[in-house]
Amino acid sequence: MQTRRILTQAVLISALIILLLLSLVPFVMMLVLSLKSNAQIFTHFWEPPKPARWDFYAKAYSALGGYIVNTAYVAIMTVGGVLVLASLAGYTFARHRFPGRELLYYAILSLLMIPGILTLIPTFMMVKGMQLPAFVFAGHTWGPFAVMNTRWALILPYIAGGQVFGILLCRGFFQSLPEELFEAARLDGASEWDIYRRIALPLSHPILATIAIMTSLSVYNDYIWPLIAISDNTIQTFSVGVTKFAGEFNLDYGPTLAGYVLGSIPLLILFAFGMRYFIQGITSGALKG
Amino acid sequence: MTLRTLWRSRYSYLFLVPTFLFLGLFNYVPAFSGLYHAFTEWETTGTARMNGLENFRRMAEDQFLRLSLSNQFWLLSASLVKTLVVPLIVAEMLFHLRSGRLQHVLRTLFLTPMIVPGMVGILLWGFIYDPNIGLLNNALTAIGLGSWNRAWLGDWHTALPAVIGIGFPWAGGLALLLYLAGLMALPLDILAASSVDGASFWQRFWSIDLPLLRGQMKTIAVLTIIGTLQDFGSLLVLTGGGPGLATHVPALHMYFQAFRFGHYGYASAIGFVLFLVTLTFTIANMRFVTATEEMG
Repeated sequence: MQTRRILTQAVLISALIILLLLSLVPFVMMLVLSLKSNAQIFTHFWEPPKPARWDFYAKAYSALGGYIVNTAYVAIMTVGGVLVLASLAGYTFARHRFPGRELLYYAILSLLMIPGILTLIPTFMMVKGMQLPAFVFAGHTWGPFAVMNTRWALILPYIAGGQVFGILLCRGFFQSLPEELFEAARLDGASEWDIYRRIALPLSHPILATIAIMTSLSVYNDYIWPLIAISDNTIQTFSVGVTKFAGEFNLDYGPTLAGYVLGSIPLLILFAFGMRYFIQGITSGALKG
Repeated sequence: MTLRTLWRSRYSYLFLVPTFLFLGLFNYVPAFSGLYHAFTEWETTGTARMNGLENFRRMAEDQFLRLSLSNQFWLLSASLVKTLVVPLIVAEMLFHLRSGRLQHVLRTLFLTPMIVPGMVGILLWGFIYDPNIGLLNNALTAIGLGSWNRAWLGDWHTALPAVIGIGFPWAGGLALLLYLAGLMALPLDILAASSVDGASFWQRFWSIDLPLLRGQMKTIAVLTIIGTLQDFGSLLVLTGGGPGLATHVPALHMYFQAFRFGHYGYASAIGFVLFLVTLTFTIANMRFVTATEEMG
């Protein structure tokens, strides 16, 4: 019995490790080939890089660094917007009682059933004609600003879409807090804004971290929307930029792969800090609905 | 409900104003606009004009669309196997590891491919299938099967299977996480009872694990269906739907109709049909989940 158990475990572990190695093949290939010149790749495909061409990374950075910074900027702005809107609305739905609460909540839930493919064209046509209103500041009139082909064409729709899942998560979280907490504050005469700002928000850091990570990930990985909404290459995001880059450097494989590695670094940092929150977000059960 | 109660709730409404402002502008209006424009003739230049069911009649006669349906069927079936079956096997194997530490380490390692941006993952597979320096051709040559070498994504016979092969062995990702969380949450007393009864692994798997993981399976199935029907980005980048129509799918057809040819009305109609299909699956899933929650 004992030996059989050990044998079973050995088989399980080796099967898992084989699967794992197979899963990692493309990424190992990426790392190894990113340091090899075309000549090395063509003639010695299976050999380690000799010499390792670290200069490819500098080349890739000069071509792709801008896209990565652009995406980071868009992601940060989006996450900021989503966190404010989702926590405020989630808190309101969880802790306030007001006429129409259920109706409004279902109006938000129903959006989960609207696929992006239905709204892609109308959103595009709308954003194309959209202008942020002019305002007067320091004696000058600024704007109106066209939204299309600016970062706002990404940030605004991303905030709108990203908050839906965030509201679900926040509502669930705020519902789990004890009512006494809020009651005591109300008796002390705290305003509704104060209760949200000073009691609810500080407690919600873990759930906000989850939302921040899920949102950043979806912004970083989105391809179609920036492809059609942004034509100015200087503000383009990484997902689109990298396909252009792969096309330009088509015949220079090493730098192309070095670019892929560079593009993975922001997500590596994100996961290094937030893997736990990410897993919580996936398994929270909110995905089930 | 009086004005007084509404006034007393003014802060609640005030807190929801920003949310609904964004949703109205970027979600509700486009959704209704998409539904409406499915019934219009709407080209790049002119304004939209109602044309009844003309777009749908055109869809029925669209050869490209018809041919794309069978590709979509194969891609969808393959995606379901890839996300429903393989991660379940891996989750079961991980769950039966006796060392908790090893389990944790391996689970984390299986998730590492997620660190790579989605587009990079797709481009890497383009690299694997590359006719000149691709990993696949090199590997075949190395084991003496060099005669099989080909442009995997450029060959009419292999393009669709190659697209399906992306992500092999499809072990990690979101589905693995959901399954593993589901297995960890199985009631301990049931597990203990089954081991006392001397149930074999397969008995336990069929009579306990599978029924209790039904919720997860439905979730994964619906997310996969919605994701696959909508995902045309990877095809756009890797094959553009080709060679010929070998990897053409309806969503890609919609994209081309709108953003290459400027037939926004017709494209909206294709989007409308895709929406109806995903809606059907989502509703089926929600009913199922509610039913399971009532059971448990």
